[in-house]
Amino acid sequence: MKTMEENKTIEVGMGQMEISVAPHKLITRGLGSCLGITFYDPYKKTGGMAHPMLPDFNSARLRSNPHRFVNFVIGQMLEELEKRGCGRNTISIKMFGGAHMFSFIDTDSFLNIGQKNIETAHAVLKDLGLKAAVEEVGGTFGRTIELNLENGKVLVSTVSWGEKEV
Amino acid sequence: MDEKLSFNQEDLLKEMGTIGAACAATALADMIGGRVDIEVPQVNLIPLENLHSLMGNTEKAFFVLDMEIKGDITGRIFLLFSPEDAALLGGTLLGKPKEKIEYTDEMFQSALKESANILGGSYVSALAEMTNMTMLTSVPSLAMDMVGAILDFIFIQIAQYSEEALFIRTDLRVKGMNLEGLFLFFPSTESLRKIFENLKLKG
Repeated sequence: MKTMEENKTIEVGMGQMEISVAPHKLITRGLGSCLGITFYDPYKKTGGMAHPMLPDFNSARLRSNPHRFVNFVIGQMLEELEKRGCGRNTISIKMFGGAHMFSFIDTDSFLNIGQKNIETAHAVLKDLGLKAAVEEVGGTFGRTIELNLENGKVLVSTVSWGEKEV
Repeated sequence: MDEKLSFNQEDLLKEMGTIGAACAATALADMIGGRVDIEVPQVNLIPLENLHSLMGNTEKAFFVLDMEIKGDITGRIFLLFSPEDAALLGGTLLGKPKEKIEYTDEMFQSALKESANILGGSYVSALAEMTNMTMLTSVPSLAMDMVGAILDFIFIQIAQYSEEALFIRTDLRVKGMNLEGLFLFFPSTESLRKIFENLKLKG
């Protein structure tokens, strides 16, 4: 007899992407200007979480880890889920992070990568004919996000602004 | 840095860290009237994806003071305190018990910034003297949030030209007060080259 696999919480680090299924959870901790993107198919109870740091793979000098890039990892995650039989039109997309952590960094500075990450994600999703159902982005605070693959809910926790499920 | 550091280079950076931190510790001791111990600095060269190993838990809340370094040597300095330690330090400077400190109080925040100014300033001037190069610190900025979230922009910046982050880490400890802090210096890759050249260490 097959034994029940325990519920696992899988950590998704900076520049990483993970795909998993219910009853597991995917978590990424301490998102600042990086993006946290989750994909979830409610019929397959399968989803993915990515934690990219930089917007554009094509203009990057160092490409050893393509999961660092917003425009690469979105396509990659979609492909991985489609391979597992998830339908493009049933996938629910949520987006978090892209914060502006230090107010002294000018909004147009190259250090303010958060905004560029958000804009790139919008453009890439649009090209794929997709749209994020939920966006908890920007602001000046960090977030921890946890995707429950049982129901697709994402728990967003902050230090000073409490937590909520979206 | 795409190549590994030689032992000589690592020793040199450790030595710089020690001298800088010793001056910073003396300045801090003067400020709070207590004895400040420093651990031997560690020179860390870590792959960016291993950021988690730096702080343990990246969602833990910290007060982080950030200073940009400009001049012949460029880089960033971060000073990290847990909220309790920040309250203890701020309270000592303001002559208040730490329980009376509100994290959002402006006086408290400027006391923290002032201590960063003094710590960072003495660290940097010791290094400038040692290397005979100019180094200036910017006005410190302060944030209290998840440490991973606060520091990710520096890793993002480094990720654009390097696979690994090099930084010098020094643990500060104030005897008799149970106060601990963390001092991180991230020299830019360009500056490292300059430092090694200037001190005639090519590996």
